[in-house]
Amino acid sequence: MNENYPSHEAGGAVAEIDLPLQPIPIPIRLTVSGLYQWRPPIVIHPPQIPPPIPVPIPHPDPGPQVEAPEAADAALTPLPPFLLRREELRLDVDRTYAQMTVSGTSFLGLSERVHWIASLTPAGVRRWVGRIWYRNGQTALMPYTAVTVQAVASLFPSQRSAKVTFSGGGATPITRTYAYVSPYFHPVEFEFDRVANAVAVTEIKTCAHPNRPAGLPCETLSIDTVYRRAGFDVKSSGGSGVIPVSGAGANGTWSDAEMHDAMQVYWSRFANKAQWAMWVLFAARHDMGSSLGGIMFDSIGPNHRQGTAMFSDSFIAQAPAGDPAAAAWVERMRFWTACHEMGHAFNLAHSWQKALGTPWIPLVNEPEARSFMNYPYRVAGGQAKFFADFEFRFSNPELLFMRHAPARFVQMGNADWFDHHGFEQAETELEPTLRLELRANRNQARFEFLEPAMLELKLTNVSDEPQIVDRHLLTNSEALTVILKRAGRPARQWVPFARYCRKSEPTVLAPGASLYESLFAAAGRNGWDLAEPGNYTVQVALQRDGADLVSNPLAVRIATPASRDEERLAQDLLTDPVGRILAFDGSQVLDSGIAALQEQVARFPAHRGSLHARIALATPLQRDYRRLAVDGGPTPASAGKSGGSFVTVPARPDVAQQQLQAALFADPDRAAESLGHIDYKYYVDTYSEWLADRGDSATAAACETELGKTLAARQVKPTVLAEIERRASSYAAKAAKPKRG
Amino acid sequence: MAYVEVHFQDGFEHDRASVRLNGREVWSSAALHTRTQISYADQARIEVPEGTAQLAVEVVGRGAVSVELPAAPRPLYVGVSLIDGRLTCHLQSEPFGYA
Repeated sequence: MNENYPSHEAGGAVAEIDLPLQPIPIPIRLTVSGLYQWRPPIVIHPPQIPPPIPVPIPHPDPGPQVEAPEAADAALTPLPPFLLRREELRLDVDRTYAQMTVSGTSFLGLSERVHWIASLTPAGVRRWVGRIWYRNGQTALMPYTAVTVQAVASLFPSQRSAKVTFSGGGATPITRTYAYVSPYFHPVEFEFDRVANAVAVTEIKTCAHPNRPAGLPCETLSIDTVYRRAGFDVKSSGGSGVIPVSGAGANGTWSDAEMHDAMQVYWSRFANKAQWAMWVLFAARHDMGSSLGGIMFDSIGPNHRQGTAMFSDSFIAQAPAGDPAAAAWVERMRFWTACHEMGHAFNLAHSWQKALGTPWIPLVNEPEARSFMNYPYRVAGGQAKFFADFEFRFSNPELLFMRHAPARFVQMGNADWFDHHGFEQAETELEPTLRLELRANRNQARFEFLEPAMLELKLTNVSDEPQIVDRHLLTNSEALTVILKRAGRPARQWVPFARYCRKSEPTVLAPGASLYESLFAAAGRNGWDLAEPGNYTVQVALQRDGADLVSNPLAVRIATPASRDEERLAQDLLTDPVGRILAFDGSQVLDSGIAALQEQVARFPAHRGSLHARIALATPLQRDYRRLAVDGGPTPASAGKSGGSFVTVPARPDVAQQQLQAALFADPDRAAESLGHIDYKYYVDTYSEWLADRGDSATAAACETELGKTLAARQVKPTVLAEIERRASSYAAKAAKPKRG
Repeated sequence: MAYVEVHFQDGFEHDRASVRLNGREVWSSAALHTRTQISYADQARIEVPEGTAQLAVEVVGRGAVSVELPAAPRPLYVGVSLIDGRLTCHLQSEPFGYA
């Protein structure tokens, strides 16, 4: 028992139903929200009765060996427990701040899991229906698109259950009956420590300050209760105590490193691993001074978000001049700060930051939210307006995140701070009629070092009805968000060199039909984010009609350099000019990038990266190239004022043909794999068209024929092959036609 | 002498930034980076002469913003953030607080 702090309310069990002990109100309101679990039934095999021993006892038979009976027994042996399937369900329909949501996690074996979320609408007594709008993990384990939930309420926890029917997605519907586990969605342990010269505030009288919402219940509210209402089964680690001021060093104020050290010494649960537990330190002041009221200081090392701190001797202890209840104002600010910093440990970002950093999918900020995660003094009207409406709670999107996001995004010590934080925004609905797929045209998305990672997007109509979509939906537009996450590093958003603003071209996507587009995500305005050796996860979100369609996460590996020469060349290749040249298929202006690509082709002609280099170098040589020449000073005002003019760089068709022929046809299968099917076809089509325009229809036909053979061997769909065949035939016919003298 | 505090807050990622007062560079940073959990990157305390002054903040590759500082009140606090790729700033007479 912690004697330094006020005692908290009893554990979560009493809050399981809204039922006081005496007297029993009629009718009793039973709730069904909480955590449920399902395991496959255990099959018990009948005991094996040994066969009777023959008499007389036979001698060993030296004849032919027969299959040992153990083989049959082995087949009946139950699988080890870790191989069995296990499922969790979180039903959130009728307790505090209900989000009308159900989510689930299926575990299969040690590593496979899929997480899904559905929004619910009532469909009867304790019955809800909804569409699954979010999937994460091994999505093949969860093909369904809709759920129906029928809950059974009871005074007795063992009699509560939730029967869920999964349907849609072309799969045979299944029904699972989940057993009730807890009224809370996750467990968590808090451990509060106080530095000897600091003030700790772990509970507050909600009506102590007159500026508050008119309907705010007057109660003694603890931090534990705040988080229980957020859906957590809060327990105390039991190791809370007082820390000597000497831990802060000679200056008496705390640095992040000193707090991290103190966490390792004083936190009874400290471990370098993910766990539902956090350490909360009440200190007097940070090294940064009075301007820092608190901080989630643990954003270093391999396990983030395990420790937070509040500073009682900071600006949060300075009530506004003339405040009618200054002491209560300070108490409330200290309480708000504690809950705020602990919210960061749950991976919640500031309310105005939801769209910043590395959100999982595009987000909308909540700058005016009356949430623990907003600064009171940052909203319109300042802190007085904030507290006039503040109900000591988190916003609904934040609650959705804490309760229903994949646990690793939320759990302390798991996902890095600010990584995946943005998931919580509710407007990120998955459009169930379409499926977005991210892939590479190879068995495993493994790329050689200096081979630009070419990925492909596939958008499929998975509904039974035709869908109208923009033909250019998958091109680099504002609607497309690509997230690149290198293992062990924060995720980054890919920023393309150019975004295209096109007139919408509505097109009908028949059921089962798909749109395709290539994705050059290796480099962008952020630099070469997908080029250094290592393991990455890439995921794409596509905004359409106000909803977000999220792709599968794709595991990508960039191989290590094959030689020191490759390492050295990388310094010249992984640059902004080279990224732009590859993204735009060539340049006659970016001289340093052109030189680097030429060096790559010269020194590593057989390298996959040289395929891309050859195309980028050859494309601008196919036609006369207009280049803007500006003879300005170091800060030219404009091309016109600086005497700029266009000069024509003559085409070099022979060099272009030689390079393109080498890139596209020296090893067609390798080229198709490295460039991706979409771009390989695009380059061959444009090349053959160019050849035909120059009067070489015979070579154009040969190119298309080779393209068809290559893609046929790579299992490209028949409609594409038929189109290629038509083009080849057309060029062949043109070549066979006698030329007019 | 009175002063102005320029606080670099949200949105910076290892950026190069400088502050100019009446055209003269008075502060610079080669690696401005926001600690997202407190929405704070760095601050510059700049002494300013009496009267109005022109304060300009430039973040290389991200843009620039300038503001005419009023003659009073002093001290003055200027918050600079990068929001949606745009450099923004706001002034207040109270110190900033972070949490």
